[in-house]
Amino acid sequence: MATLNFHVRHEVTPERVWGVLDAIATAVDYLHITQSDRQISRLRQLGLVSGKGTPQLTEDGRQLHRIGQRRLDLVWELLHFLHYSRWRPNDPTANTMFFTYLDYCNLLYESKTTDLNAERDQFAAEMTQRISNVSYFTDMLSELAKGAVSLSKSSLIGVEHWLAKLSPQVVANDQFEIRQYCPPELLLMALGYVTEMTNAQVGIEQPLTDERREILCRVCLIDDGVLNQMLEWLYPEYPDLVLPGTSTGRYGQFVRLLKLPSLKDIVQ
Amino acid sequence: MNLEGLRAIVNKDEIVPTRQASDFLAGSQEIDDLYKHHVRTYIPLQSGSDEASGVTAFASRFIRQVKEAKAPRGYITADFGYGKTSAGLFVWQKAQDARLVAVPPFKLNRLEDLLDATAGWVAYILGKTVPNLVEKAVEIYQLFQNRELDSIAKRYGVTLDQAERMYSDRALQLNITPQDIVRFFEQMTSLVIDAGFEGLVVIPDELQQYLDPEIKSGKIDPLVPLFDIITELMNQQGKLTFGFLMIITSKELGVINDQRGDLIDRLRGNTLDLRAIYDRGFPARLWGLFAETFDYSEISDQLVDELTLDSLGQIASRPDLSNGPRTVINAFRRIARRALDSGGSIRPYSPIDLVDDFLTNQIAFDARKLLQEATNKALATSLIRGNSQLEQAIRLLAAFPVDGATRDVQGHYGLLDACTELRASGSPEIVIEIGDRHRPALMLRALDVAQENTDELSLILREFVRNYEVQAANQMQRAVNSFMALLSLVFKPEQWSTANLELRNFARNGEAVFVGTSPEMAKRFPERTVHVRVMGDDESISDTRLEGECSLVFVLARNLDLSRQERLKILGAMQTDTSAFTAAFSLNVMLPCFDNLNRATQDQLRRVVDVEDVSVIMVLALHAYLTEAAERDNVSKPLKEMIKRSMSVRLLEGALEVLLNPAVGSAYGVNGGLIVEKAVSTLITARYGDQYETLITYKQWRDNLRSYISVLRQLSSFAQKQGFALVEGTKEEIAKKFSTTAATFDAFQSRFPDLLKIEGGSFPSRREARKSGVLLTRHSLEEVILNWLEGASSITTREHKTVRAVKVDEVYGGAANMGYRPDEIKFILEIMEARDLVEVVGGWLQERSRPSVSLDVLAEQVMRFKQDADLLHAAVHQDETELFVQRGNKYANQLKDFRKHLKESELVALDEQVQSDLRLLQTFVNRGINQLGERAEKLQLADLPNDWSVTLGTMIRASAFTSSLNQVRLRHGQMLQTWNNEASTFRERLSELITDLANLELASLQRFTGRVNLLTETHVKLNEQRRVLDRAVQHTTAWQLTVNQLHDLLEAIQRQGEAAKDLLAQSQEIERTIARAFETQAIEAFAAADRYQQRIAQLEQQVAGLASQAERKFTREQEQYRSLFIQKAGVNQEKLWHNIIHSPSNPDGVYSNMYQAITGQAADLLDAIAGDIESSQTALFGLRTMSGLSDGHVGGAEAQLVLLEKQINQSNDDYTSISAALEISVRNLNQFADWTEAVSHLQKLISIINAGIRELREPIQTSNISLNEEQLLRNLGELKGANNLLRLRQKMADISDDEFWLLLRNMSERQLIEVTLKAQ
Repeated sequence: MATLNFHVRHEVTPERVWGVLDAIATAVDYLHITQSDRQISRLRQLGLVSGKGTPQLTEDGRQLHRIGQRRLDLVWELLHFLHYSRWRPNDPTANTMFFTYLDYCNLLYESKTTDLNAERDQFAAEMTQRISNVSYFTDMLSELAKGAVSLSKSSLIGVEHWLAKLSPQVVANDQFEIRQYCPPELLLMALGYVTEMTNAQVGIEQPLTDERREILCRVCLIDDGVLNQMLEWLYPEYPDLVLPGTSTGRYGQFVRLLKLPSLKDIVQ
Repeated sequence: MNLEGLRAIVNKDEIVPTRQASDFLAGSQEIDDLYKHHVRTYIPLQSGSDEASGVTAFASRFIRQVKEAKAPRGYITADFGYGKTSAGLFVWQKAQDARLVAVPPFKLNRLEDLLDATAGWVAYILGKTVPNLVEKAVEIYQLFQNRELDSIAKRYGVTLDQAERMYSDRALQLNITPQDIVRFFEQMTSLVIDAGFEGLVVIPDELQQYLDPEIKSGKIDPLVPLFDIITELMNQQGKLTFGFLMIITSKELGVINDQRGDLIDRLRGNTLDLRAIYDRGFPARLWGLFAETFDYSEISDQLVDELTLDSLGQIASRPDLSNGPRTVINAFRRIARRALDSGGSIRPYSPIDLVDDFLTNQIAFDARKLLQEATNKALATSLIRGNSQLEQAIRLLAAFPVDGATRDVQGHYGLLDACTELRASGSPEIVIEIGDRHRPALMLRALDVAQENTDELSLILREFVRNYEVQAANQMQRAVNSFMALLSLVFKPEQWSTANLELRNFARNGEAVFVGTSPEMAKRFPERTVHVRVMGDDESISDTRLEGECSLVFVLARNLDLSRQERLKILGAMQTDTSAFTAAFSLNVMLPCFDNLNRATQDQLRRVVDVEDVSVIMVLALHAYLTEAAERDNVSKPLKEMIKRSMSVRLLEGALEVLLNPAVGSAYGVNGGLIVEKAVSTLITARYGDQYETLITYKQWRDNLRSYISVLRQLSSFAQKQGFALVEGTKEEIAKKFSTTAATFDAFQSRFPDLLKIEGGSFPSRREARKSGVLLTRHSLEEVILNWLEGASSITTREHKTVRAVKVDEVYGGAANMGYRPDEIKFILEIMEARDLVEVVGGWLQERSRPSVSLDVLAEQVMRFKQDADLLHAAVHQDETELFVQRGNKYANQLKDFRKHLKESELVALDEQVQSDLRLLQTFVNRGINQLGERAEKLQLADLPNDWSVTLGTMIRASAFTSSLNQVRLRHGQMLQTWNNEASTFRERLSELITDLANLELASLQRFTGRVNLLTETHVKLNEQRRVLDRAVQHTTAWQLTVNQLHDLLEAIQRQGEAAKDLLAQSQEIERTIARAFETQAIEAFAAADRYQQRIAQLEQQVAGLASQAERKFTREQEQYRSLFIQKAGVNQEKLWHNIIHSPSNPDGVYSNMYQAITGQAADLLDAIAGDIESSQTALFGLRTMSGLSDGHVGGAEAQLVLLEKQINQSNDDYTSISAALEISVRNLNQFADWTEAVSHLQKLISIINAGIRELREPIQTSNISLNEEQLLRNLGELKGANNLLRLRQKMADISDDEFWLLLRNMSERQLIEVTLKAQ
């Protein structure tokens, strides 16, 4: 019987993952990178490196490498996005490690500001509890031994590594704080994610409901108060992908995604 | 000129007022007229050339689906003003043309409207076509429309009381249900089909009227019934020739999709989004279609300028300036009216005319009148007011609110100068320049789509622009300092660290020192230091000091002394001075930069500045300005972050792209940051060339070198420490020494190829036997330092020895000049210490004291080593001994070199190696001698077995071929004799050798080896002969066996007699074959006995088979004979002869025995038959004499007696015949069967005779037996065979003698008793 893995390895870090991805892209040795096999494993899980055998970059992997050649800062944002969006409720028992990532981000987002050092233990316990009670996993977890889900601080640190690389920062000196800005590219990808998660249609105006706004803010780890401004800055940057919808009338603000964005669309 | 067609346009309404559903109940005729009027002038459009996207294609598709009973459900969507209702009317008209009853668009305020509109329209259409069905339509309508309880009760056949109870129990609701509506549609569709139509289409419009109030109130969800209707209709797919086409704004569609995405899913495939059709090219397309449709194509171009249609397209695409297509239609009406009113002198309608019409409110659909406001505001400014050219120019610009009026447009209307003046004087307050540099356009600033934005970023940008002056010193200062920031895009933080950064101020230039490397030179030159100086054209170098290994100077030039045109021709340049290790960049900061910015930044800047003025210096200055602004307290955090994270970086990227353009990097054929990387790489290479061999091969290089030093320290051999002698081991063993794994050792070694060499280039695989290991060789810097030591003038005494020394600082200085980093030098010195080459004492690097080695003594040892190695190799010729020879030569050559140029450490190492190799060589010599002794011992020769001479000396039994065979055998016998003689000589020689070996030395090793080799050859030869003899003995034995086998076979065949005739021939053929083989190839034949043995064995088997067959035949025959006796002759089995056992060795004998037994048995049988016949004769005689029978008392007795006599005679004849036939019948089973048949027949005849006798005799015997007779018979029985007459008389004493004799006589006559007489 398959088991569910919720542990996010703390030895897999953004720099190491990027180092390995860069090495694969440029066909150089990566064995000196600490636990390179685990970094490759994460790249595979993120869909950036192809299945089995000799590691090769997927189309997304190549695109991310391309972006990194110009904008390494964006790579960290996009890697965060890939982690956040990898787990999907339509296939809940797959990629469960990323559920931990998503849920911990949500937990931190809800807290707005947190002293991670002081709270991490409690968060680990709370996360364990949350995951154990999530309906997506109850069937499988009930068949596993008691205590099958046990998150430690290191699992959460495994998530924090990626958050610590975001710019503007959300994690600094063991303090988490949601930010007041995010790159348009992350918001663009988040809009694609929201469109998929809320079953909205591409090409049709989607109202920016409270639910959608919240998802966008959670993915981007931004304050809801700045979302409108972020969208305003996004529209002129990617006019071929996203347009502002009407904001008049009774239904509030709308947005119109012309196609689901992919890494290929970023920083062309 | 035909202007009549234009009237249709003039009469065309922009808006089709959608009618209420209730209007359809009484006013369908009017609605029909109104809609028809509109639809007559409707021109269906499509998106470009994509027909499938058009209204016509949509209508056809929808109608087809209705006819195919697919119950299609769909929608038409767009924003207000896009002609959704018109498109709906077009579908309506097409549906009617296709013989469908189509209910045209009506406002849907509530669900009941669907009933009202449909019923009203169907009744109207039927009234015109099949009036007698109108009543039916009304009936259906009333059935569903009437929600009164009594009506419902009637409809469902319940009483009013029951209906009321249902209502109070909430089992009944009075609102119409979606199911009712669909049932209503079904019945209405059925009705129109009865009337001869092919189906029904319903087109509800303005769904927002239905959705909005309900959603807003939140009381009920209006989407649920709508969803249910759609779902119900889905279920009618394939059954109902009915279509349901909704008209809905895009916003409502978004709301529906958001709340009930599945509802939109159910409409998929029948959707028309008019926004895709009404693009910027829509007015031009529509005008062309109007001209064609209304027949004025030939004057179409005279009526309106092409540019006006483009202008109209730009205005219509702006929802803040127009109402989309409605505004277009409105403008077309205006154009048409103007032409009709012109009285024949038509002037093409220009963009200026269009704006004038907006200003004079001739165009009604103008949204928020923004266009008028903006234009009037511009016209009212003092700069414009009263200047007709400028006023015209303003009107022209107002007509192009999206792309602006290009210079072509300006020129077309003769307003180029006016526009130039406007740009010069009114920018950016009144006008702004937009578009790219190559196709600039001017637009009214107030019409800029972004103009409305008064966000804080726009304010900051305006503030900057207001104060920006290219010539001002502070702009250059900002530019220089921004360029310092821009350097981080070249010296990327992931590759370079900033050791120092000084911004420009009044006293000094902007300067920075970067430490790191670029991918370009990372492998050869890691961790380089680059000094960068950035200067404006308004300053000179304040400090000529160079802090790095190379220097870059960037001069930002404005070239203010040149005209703008000349200035823009200067693309910048770069020059390198490899002798001074510097590169000078002259960069033109006046180059335009707008196009190189990202779109969002372009969007922001366009709002506040003429894009033509956006130069690199402005961008750099803006960057500095924004950086400062982002520090202000009153700037919001998001904006601060946006400036810091995005905009400022994008500004620098744009500036970098322009400044470091391909012209600047022409020397390298690159652009951007790569130019700087290439320049730095060139300068560093020029500085250090090949003398620098880096140790910094990767991040953990220090850890690796620590492992290396640790290994060196553990080595005890001086030669190994110098890399002269191999450190042996497998890959795993070596890797372990270096604290790494076999898997990563190759990477480890490849990072330090100078320090670590694998013997033979790579480690052997496990299957390869060769030894391997590594050499810990010296780095080139070690050699350099050793040379420095050798040439050092400073001498010190250490452990009573004189050693040379240099200052450590000088070593560091010298190595640094070669390009080495202090850390690298430190590690090299540690390595040298670990090699026992040097030691650092009190700031001095001095040679390590070592034991002195005499060159002459060593030379003598080397000579001896070489000699012995040669001797050993000559004697044993092995790979290892060859290695000794090579080493001997190498050592001799090294000694020669040392005599020319002595290096003490090398001498010490050589001495160590020679001593070690001398010991090793002696080991090999000893091993060689031992091995020779072992070889000699192994040459002992064993005697041949004694029985070999016996075997080879024994004659083989005579046969057809044994003569040849015996000849071969004899030859081998002679060979055996020769072998014995030679073996004896060999043993003597071997014994001598073993004795001599006790005193063997290296000098005689080669000679002894020769002797051993010779003996070995003889040993090999004798052993080879032993094997030949061994085989000969085996073959001889085999032939003895074969010959015996053949003899036995022949005997066996002969025993089988005739049956084995073929086998005999075959065995003889074998003999002949063997004989022939010996005649032709005696030797081969001699070795092939087994080949014949097999054939002989086959024949033996065949013979055995024959024998077994004969036995089975004999047994079977014997059994058949026995059976004939039992079954035919009635012989008891126990009375038969004992079974005769078959003997294969005597087959004839057993048959003879059997026939004898049969004859005997048959004779016994004949005797018994003869006895029976005789008894019969006696009985017959008795009968003839029997009283009571012979006297004629028994009737017919005589006849019977005659018959019996005849039969007895017959039996006598038969007997005679049978007896005579016996002899000839016995040996043939069939004849014998006939014989036994005859016997059987005779026996039956005898039985008949006996029966006849008994028949005659028994009645007489058994009748009238007297008491005396009974007593006499009883007494006879008691006497038990002792039938003495006297005794019988005694027992019968109670009767008289006469009575007794009479009794005897009577009983004898009656054959109750038999009287036998016997002489005493």
